[in-house]
Amino acid sequence: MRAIRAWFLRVGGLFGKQRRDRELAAELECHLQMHINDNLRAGMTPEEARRDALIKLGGVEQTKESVRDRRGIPWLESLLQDVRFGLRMLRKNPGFTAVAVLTLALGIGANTAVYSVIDGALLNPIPFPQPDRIVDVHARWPQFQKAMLSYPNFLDVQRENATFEGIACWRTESFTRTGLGDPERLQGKMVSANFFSLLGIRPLLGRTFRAEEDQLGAAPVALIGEGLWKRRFGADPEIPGKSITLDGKDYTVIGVVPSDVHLLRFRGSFFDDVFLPVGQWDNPLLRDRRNSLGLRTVGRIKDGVTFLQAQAEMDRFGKSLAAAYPGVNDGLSVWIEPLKDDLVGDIRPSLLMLWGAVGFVLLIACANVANLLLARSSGRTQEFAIRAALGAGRARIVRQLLVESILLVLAGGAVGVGLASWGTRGLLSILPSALPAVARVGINWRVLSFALGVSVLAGILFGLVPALRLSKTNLQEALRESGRGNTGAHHRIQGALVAGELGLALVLLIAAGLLIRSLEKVWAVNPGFDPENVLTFSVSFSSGIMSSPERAHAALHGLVDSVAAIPGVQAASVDLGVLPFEGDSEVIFWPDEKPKPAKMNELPITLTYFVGADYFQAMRIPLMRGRAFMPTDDLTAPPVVVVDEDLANSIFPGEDPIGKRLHFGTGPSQEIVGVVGHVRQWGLGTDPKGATHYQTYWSFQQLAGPFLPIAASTTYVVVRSARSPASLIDPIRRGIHAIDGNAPLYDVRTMREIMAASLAERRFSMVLLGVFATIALLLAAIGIYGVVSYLVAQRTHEIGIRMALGARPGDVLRMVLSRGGKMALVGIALGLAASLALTRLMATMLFGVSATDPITFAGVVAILLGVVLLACWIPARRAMRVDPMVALRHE
Amino acid sequence: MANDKSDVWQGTLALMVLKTLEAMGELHGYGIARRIEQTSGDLLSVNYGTLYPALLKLEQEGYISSEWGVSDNNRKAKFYKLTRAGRKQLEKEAREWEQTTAILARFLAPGEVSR
Repeated sequence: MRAIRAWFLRVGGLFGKQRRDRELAAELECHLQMHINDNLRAGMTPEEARRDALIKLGGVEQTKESVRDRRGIPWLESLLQDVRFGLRMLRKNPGFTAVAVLTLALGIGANTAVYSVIDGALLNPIPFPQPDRIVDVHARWPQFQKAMLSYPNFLDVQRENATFEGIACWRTESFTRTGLGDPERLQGKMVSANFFSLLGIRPLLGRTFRAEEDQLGAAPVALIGEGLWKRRFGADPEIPGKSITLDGKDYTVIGVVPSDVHLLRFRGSFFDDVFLPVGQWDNPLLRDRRNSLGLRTVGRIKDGVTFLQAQAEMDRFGKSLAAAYPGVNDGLSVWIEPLKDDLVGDIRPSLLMLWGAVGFVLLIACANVANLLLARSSGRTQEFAIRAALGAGRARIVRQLLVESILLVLAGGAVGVGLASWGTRGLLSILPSALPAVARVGINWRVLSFALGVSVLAGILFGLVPALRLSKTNLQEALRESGRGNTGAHHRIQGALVAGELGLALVLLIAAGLLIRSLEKVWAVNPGFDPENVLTFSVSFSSGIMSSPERAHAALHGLVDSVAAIPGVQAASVDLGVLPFEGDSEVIFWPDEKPKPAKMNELPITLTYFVGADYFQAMRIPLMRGRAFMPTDDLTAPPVVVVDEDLANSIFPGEDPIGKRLHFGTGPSQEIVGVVGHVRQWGLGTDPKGATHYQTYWSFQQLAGPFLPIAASTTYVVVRSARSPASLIDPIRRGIHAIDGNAPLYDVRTMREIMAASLAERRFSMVLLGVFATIALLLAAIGIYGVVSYLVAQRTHEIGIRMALGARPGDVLRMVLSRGGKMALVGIALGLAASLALTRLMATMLFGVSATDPITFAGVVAILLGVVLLACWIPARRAMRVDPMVALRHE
Repeated sequence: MANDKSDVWQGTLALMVLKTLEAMGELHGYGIARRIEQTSGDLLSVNYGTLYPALLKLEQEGYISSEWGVSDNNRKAKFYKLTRAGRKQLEKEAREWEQTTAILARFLAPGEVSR
């Protein structure tokens, strides 16, 4: 206790120093005087009396010093002294300080920005409690690795499992809201009653669904998202109990929930506006064990149950479900995957690569600042020699220099975090769709502590080298030399640092170059259609219209006719279900002439597009054989189908597919009337593993039954026009409202935009890596410029002598350039070796170029050499202009 | 010469200061030093300079307190006095010290060690 009290007082002793010093001086003075008086009384002479008193006291200054040490905390005091001194030094050299702080800010800022994205997207993408226990539950069929459970299968698993706290399901759905203002299209989810409690989402207002509401025939209830609540209802606190009209049906709002429930790695990010209990959905297909209807299943594993135990239980479910429903569940198995893996997906390698890249940028920044410090330290040799002569130990001098470095880096870090928060926002606004859960990316305490850690590490990294070097310099020599001479070792370190910087920059430039070339190649891939001047939009007709095939067909016809009649429009067609690059609707099929295979799960699968007569014309998908659809291909005509060339070649090799028939599970077989070119449904790059390749086109006029409202709930329209797409929107909207006043128009995009969005992830990596590589190149150029300038300044005298002895400016230029060139060559050699080793790691991100693409390598080396030459040329020119007389007189 | 005088060894100075203040009441630094020398019968030589850090330490630990006052010959001086905690500490240390010396004395008594 006493000791703690004493420490407190000693910390307090750090302040009010001057008053305490005055008091101590007075006390000691009084002591001396009393002693002298006593001595005088004892008969000493005044001189003797004083001398004796001083000896007994052991010297006034020594006494003061030992009292001071006891009063405060000596090491802390000298540290504060170092800090004060360091701040003074930095203020005295504003140019140096600004360059060093900015360089570090770039390095630390880039690291912080990337880390904040990694933190949000990779490490903590799930904003729910205990995210590690949340898993996706998937079905697996022999043809599908990752499929969905049907609702009846889900209910069985949900009811009987023992290893999960709960299992919930959800599917996305969009709705048309009417009443209260303009009709609008809302994004939403149909969820099981336990969905919110399972994930740990609390309602902001009201309550979530009860189990009895998650049933057919229960009173219609809905939850609304925070966004809609604020946007449309003015954040009305009385909203629970009010009603909302969705697809023409009234629902009672029972509560408000947060909108940002991200459970999928979205292509774009959207927010949910409405939630309905899935059990109330009266679509008969939902309760058919054969259809999954886009149902996704998530579970939360119980505490104390391992992932493997949960998976083992799912294995049992798969087997028992397959046995209980032969012909429906044949080959089914059930598997789980951590939700995080599913969310993070393939963004991981890109982010890790970017993380490595910014690490390089930071290293380069550190090397630059170390070089600056080295250069400056040569001017400070004398200062430190004097300090050492006055008794400063080596450790003390190293500490002084480290304190200065840390001050620099903290300033750099503070500016860097500012840059990062600004840069991250900028990045996300340019490229939002490449990342999952974008809403969560930002500067938080984890990111801040990362920035602090990186800063301190950097400070020690670049501060230690010059500090150790300087503290080693010989005292006498330094004093004698009046601070001019610097040893060759000094230059060697600087040269090595610059070569290292150039090497690192080269690696980044090559990686960026490879990504740029990949994007170029991807962009040049023929998508199978002509995306120029094609506008697409979506429309939702009210459920009244969509309930009968006749009215639906009439509405869709009317829509296409009204669009086609707009001046400048060359072709227009509806497209239900799947748009190139977007959506996914697949069915099994088998050719009519072969017997139907015994096992359903051995059948091939095809994508299905429900299109109108002019679709191929609007998209300019080439017709290879046969015919396209005609207006007469309707419900009264025999069912027909158009297939892509891949299906035709693989299923009917060497035969004419026209006239053959295909079966699609239900309904009569359909006759192949045409063959068209293959479309790159899955994006311009490499198709994902296991992606369905075959494509079939159906005439939308032959679509009937329960599939119709589902397929038609999202109606795409594609329009090819000679006019600018933007000018078409108003006439299109008028046409739609003439058919159905309540139908909202949404998702208006050009086909080019859709293609660009599909490359967002690629562009994200490329743009970022490009930015980092540019920063790296810039820093390295500044580094080599600084070192060569310094060299020239140091050798002005020598150059003067050389020129006086007859060296021509050209010789001087060659001398300076060769110094820079040597560093560059070493750097390039290092960089090439490192690149050969590292670019292989990014092979999965490349398209159409090899990881050791000679063109990229050569081009980047040429760029780097050019920049190095430019950076050396400026100081070299200065050297050439040295006037020998001035240079010699200078000494 | 002064060589035959022992220097005050570490740790005992604090005890001596406390004891001195108990005996004398309020006293300034110089007075404490002189008093310690006198009490020792001039066998101890106090380096007066070491006294001041010791006084500061005792004050930080709360065993003594200080105050500016006026000395006998009208000089402004800082006076130290024992606190209650200091009195307790003195008792405790004195007891410990007596024990130690008693034990040592037994060891050093001739012919008494191995009995």
